Amino acid sequence: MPSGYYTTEYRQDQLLFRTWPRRAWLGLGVVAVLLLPSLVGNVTLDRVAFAMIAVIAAIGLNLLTGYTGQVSLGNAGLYAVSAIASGVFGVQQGLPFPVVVVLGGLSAAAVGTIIGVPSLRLRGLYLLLATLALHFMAVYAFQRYQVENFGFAGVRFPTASLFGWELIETRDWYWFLLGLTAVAVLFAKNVVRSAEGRAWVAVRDKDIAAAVIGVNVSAAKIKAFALSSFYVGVAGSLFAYKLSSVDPDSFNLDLAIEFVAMIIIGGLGSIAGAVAGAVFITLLPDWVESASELLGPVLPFLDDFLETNKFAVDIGLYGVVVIAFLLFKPEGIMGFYRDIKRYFVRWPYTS
Amino acid sequence: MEKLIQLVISGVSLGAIYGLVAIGFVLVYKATDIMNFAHGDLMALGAYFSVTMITSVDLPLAAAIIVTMLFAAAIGASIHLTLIRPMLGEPIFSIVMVTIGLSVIFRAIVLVVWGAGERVFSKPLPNEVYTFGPYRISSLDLIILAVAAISVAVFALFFRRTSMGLHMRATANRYEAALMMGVNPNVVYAVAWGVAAMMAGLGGIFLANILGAVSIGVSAIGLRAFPAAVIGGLDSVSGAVVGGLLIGVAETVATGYIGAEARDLAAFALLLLILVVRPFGLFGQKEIVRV
Repeated sequence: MPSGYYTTEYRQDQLLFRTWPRRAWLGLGVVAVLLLPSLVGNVTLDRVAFAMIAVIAAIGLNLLTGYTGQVSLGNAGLYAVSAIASGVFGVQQGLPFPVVVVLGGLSAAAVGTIIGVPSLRLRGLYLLLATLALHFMAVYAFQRYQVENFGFAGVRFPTASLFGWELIETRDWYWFLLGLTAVAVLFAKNVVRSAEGRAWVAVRDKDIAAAVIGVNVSAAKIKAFALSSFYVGVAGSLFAYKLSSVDPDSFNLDLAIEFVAMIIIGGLGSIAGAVAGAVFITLLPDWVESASELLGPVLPFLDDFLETNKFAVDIGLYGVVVIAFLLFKPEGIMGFYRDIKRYFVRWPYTS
Repeated sequence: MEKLIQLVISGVSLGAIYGLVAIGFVLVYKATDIMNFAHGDLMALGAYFSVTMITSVDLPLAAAIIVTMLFAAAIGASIHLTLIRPMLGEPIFSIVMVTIGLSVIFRAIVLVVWGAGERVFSKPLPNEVYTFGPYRISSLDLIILAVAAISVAVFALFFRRTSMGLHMRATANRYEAALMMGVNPNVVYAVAWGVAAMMAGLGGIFLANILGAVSIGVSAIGLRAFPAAVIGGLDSVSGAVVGGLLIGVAETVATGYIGAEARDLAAFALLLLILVVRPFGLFGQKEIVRV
């Protein structure tokens, strides 16, 4: 039986889904996302759409932090940058939606590359502070742009239209984002298992050793910043169009922290982890709500508390979840998956 | 020119608060190599707590300040003992992420306990305005400046003359060697966190007095202790105060000439400049990395 470890041909090595259980899981997953719109209501589907936008951004951040080891709190800032670009190209110039999304990604990539330059000198926490500075500068730029061109009400975006397909209903957004997220996941997965991605991992693990075996450390870091920022920028454009109206408060520091929480909870250095973390964090408020509905009859006191302090509980809970994962399961959700897999692979020699 | 000088005067007193807060920030960094992102929220927590002590418990102002500082110190020490100590040996970024998570939790606690509205300081610090020719300076500003100056002197003495200060410097300098000399790093770290939180609480009270009321915005202002600490040099206590003064002046001048939304921009643009040109800050020790 194929184990996923023993291969006899190069072709087997290159497969993304090597064993039949994995293909079965893939099939199940595809069926699940195809059936989802007919199973859940519009409100949940809307949250899922936002979750998929967050997935794209979280993958981008994980390419940078999880694979290349460069920390960043500048992602809400990059969202703001691509929102400016979307405002200029989509609203003022009236370019079509797909072009605007690509241009939004490219603008963020340009800014991200510039921020990547100090990363050649700064390490760890100093880099974190530099990206924090980027955040405040980008949000300031967005505010100036908005006030000068749109007034104080926020930048309003037109309906997104994809070659005549108008994304008005939540359902339309779902199908469009599903396709785009699939492309983003596949591309990222292939980048990280190519020579480029392995170079990034080498830089993360020990940059001096990476340089010794012939990796151009500076180029690797800059490329990682560029691709990561492109992903975040694309997500930022989609976010702006999906919300249809954005103001500087849409890009507060909490948003930047949320992205970092996503990749930590999902699992650093794993594409699937970024997906899991982004979905988990985005849907967390809904889960709190269903939990309070479930607990309501049993613990009326708790239900009242959740009712009156909904906002505080939502933000506090994700702080608790982040700390709990860091203390008890630093590998994130992917760590649980690996534990379960190891249990079955090693059976009956599992402890 | 008159406007500029007046802006610099108000900037200095705001900057003295940033300096006070940055001192706590530097203490934690010096002892443990961790940047504490929950520092601003500790400020907010201290400010709210002092309001409760004054209004609900009806303590006199001085007693309320002392109780708040003790409360903050207890919180700081327990942060180390419950959350940071189990994380020792993990990557620094993970530990910093714990403090980020903590800041979110503190904000939630403040929202649950005190609500989203503003709280007024019913017994404020004396705030009489003195005029010197065209310029105004308040007694509040003078008090804050005096406290900042005293703090720098006290910490300088603490690090040079007390055994705890010596232990702290030893642990920061070389962890294993300090361990072998009989220093208990857990006590050292807990004290560093406690004192840092105490300074944050004090800064919170002063800031609430300058703003006139306590709101959740106090924690966002606490974020500007980062640029202050980095500009001064992350491991220099007196540098933190100088950095705080620079940030305070830059901010008020930017606010006066460009507008209120330029405050963050001024502080963080200065931070980026320092990071690119002189990452170890004005008074910090250059970090030498060997293979």
